[in-house]
Amino acid sequence: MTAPLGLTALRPAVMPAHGVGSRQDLPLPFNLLLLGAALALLISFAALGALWKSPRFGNERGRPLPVPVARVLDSRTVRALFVGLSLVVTGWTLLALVAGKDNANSPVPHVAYVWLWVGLAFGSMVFGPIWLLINPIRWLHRGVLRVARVSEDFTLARYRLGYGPAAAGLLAFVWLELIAGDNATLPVLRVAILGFVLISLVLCLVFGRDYLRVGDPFAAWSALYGTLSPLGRRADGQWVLRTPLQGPNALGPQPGLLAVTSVMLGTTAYDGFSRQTWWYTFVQSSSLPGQVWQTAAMLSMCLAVAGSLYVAGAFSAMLARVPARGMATAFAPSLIPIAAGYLIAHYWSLWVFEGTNGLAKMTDPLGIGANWLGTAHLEPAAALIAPGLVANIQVVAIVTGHLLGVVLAHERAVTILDRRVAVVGQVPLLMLMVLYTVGGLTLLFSQ
Amino acid sequence: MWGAVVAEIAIGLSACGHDWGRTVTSTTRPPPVLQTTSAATSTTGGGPPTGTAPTSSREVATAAPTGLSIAVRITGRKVSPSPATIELAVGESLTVTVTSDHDDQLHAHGFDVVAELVAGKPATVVLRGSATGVFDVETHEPALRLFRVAVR
Repeated sequence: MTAPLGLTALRPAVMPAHGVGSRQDLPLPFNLLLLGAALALLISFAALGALWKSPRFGNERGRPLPVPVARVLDSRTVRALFVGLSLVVTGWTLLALVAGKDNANSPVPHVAYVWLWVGLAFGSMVFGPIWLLINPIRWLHRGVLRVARVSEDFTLARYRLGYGPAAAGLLAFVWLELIAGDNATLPVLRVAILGFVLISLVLCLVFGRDYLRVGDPFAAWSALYGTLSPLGRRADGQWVLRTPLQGPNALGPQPGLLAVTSVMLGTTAYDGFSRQTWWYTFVQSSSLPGQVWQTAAMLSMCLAVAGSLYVAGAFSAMLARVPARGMATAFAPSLIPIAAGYLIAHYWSLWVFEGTNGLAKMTDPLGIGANWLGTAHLEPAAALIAPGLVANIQVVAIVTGHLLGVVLAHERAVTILDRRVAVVGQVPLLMLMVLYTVGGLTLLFSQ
Repeated sequence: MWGAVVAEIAIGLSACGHDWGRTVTSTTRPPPVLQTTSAATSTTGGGPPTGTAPTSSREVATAAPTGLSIAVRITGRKVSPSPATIELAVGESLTVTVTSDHDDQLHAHGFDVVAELVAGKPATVVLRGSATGVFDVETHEPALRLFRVAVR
């Protein structure tokens, strides 16, 4: 029973199909593919004919939360609790990263690739842009400034890059997760995580806190998926309950918005695409290194999303006789619910399965056989990932994402286009969304 | 003896970046082929992971009494037959025989099965479907997916 240690030393880790996890969902049944596609078409045409003809969300400001609830959400204690929890998890993970053993029991890959990625997205969809509050980088930045006795508003330059750095950072993260070799080993994770912290800190010191609001990759990830949350905050600070439409609709035309939403959708689509048998057969028998093909495919997916939205926007502009400039960015928020649908469909079971495994591994951060949290024997709930349930979640998520995307595009069309041409002007965008939806379902169906 | 080997294989899997803590291979009904496989693999469990050639031959593998079977040949980075998905019912077994032209490690994800491959010598493992899902069966040097098992 001691030999496996020798084996571990010999082969520290191997890149599985996903950064962590080797269990994938069964293919989506064909009848559900057809049902989803039919619903997508139906929703799109119904939206064209039946939805409102003049902007509607501008006046809807959500239902204010009862004062006691809002007071709790705003209370220093509650906020400090969340921040404290985030910092403890961060510290715990850093302990495992620096001092833990480099084997399959390390919790670090799970925290990085499952909790921070899928977990943060799901949490944000429910609770809103939580990363803006609990981002450890924010508190590191604040601590550094305080130690240096410098004002918290200190900056060297004004931040003008919008979501650009976030798009680049998310792309790099997904590349590490899905393509890089040995990405679940501690040496690689040490370089990646400490490198990310250092770069983030420098950017914070240069650009100040504005960078942390939009430029930080995980802040953008959380804030954009967080627009779908029923919990929202109005411009005047009032907490409101709102539909998942008001948040994305309120997004302004920030630079980089098209890029970051394309990365959000494109990378998830790439993950589904890369599981296709014909694709990996081609990649692994090619004479070029597989990572070249994989990187090219991931970039192509993101460019295809941005490019197709740009082309659809240009067509819309042509039909509506308005300039094409800015059209793609104006409709980019419609991609957020679609990306969210893809994300839930692809990663629900990963979240249940590997999220739970991560919690089980967290109990022993140093790899010494400890059970400090008492979670060592936690098992993923099989009922939550039963094939029938997963297939239904996948279709409901993708079709709901489509529905929200279509309604958002409609609202945006009647807002920025002339009333007489708004209906015809949104046809190219609706067709594009049907394409994304059927494409997403097809990726889940064909393996 | 077989039970101990299974346990060792499962622990050895910690080498691969994920350990589901789930052993799937049958302990109740060892087909004849397992004698040779287990003898070979137990060497892996009991000593340094060198010279652990499973010595079972393909004839033995195809003679496995029940369930499905598949024989895969690896030549460099070429996998034949071409990767595909094999359907397996929960409780059903799949006998896998792999012959590689180079030393390598066979890993059936989710089944928690690893076996050392020695150039030119067929190695046989038995995968038994327990939890539903799709699982990759791959080698590590180079990383190749041989096929995929859909357990339903």
